[in-house]
Amino acid sequence: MSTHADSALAHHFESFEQQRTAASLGMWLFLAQELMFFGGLFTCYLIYRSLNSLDFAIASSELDITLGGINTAVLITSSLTMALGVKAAQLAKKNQLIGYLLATILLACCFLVIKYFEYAAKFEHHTVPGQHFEFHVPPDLIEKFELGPERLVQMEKRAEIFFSVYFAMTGLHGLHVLIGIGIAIWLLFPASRGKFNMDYHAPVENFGLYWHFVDLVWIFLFPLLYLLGRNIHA
Amino acid sequence: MSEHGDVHVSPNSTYFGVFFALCVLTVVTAWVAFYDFGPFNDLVALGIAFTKASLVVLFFMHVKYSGRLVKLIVIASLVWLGIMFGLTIIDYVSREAVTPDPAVVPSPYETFEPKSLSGDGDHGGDAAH
Repeated sequence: MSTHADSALAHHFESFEQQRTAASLGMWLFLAQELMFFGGLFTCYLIYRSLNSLDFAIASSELDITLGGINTAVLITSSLTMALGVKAAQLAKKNQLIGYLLATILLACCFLVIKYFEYAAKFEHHTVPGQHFEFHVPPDLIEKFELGPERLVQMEKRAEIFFSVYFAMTGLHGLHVLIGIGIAIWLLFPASRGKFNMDYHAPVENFGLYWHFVDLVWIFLFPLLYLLGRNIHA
Repeated sequence: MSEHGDVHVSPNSTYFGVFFALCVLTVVTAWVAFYDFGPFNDLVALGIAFTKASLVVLFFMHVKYSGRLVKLIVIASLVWLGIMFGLTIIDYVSREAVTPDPAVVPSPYETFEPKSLSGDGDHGGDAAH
């Protein structure tokens, strides 16, 4: 075991293995609270959707399934590049690690750019909750579900709830993507100095865990926000 | 190598295999969403989402190869999430049965304006009609 002054082993740890286990434990506890953090919004979605399922289904079909689907693919791919990046860090392959980190950053930016276009379309169509919110139920659905004028007014209010939930959930998720980009850029510096190897790679590994968690949230957001309710058109 | 017993290095084939499965499941979930199976649409979509999530957690996040402590945290956090979902939904589904008078507990989806603070006027003097 190295007792070098600039050793990556902090003095209060017995061994690298103990240091890695401690770092990993801390990260998992952080992710557990992140799950509860997002869980509050998922609970909100669960309650409002169970109370207004037709309204949510109709509002949800306004979302762009193509952009949502592409973003799912982009995020899954970034999870793959990150998983490969962690492996490169474990095996001390400096250039591979830099490449995978850059690929992850690029894909994350791609995700946010697509998200920007989605949000911009919502501002254009006035489906952003607030003073200027407007929601028009497609005529074929008015006919199909025999919606009277009173029900349509009610539906517009409930659609506003759907879009509030949509913006809160995707917004918080987008913020996590943004933070992820920042951490990945920060990791490029130690990575380019060749800091990571089999003994010491916790920063990359823990960022990988964070990044996969962000992917996990999207894996649930995509069906819940974009897909559930598509069948009303069937 | 016993010093690195906690480090698991997966072969690339595992990562690419999981990635491929995730892509296929994404296409499947988007495709079946357009067919009407009644209440089963939700079940299929959530089933696929759980499958995808398990693949990410087990292989990308290495939980399959992690120690018991990490597995315990994963399971415990899901239990806590279940408590949050479960108890909240029990409150909402039982609310009307417990207090049938909508004046006492307004149905959460009928009113969007905040309730007037003047109440029934039991105590406040100037909050008259």
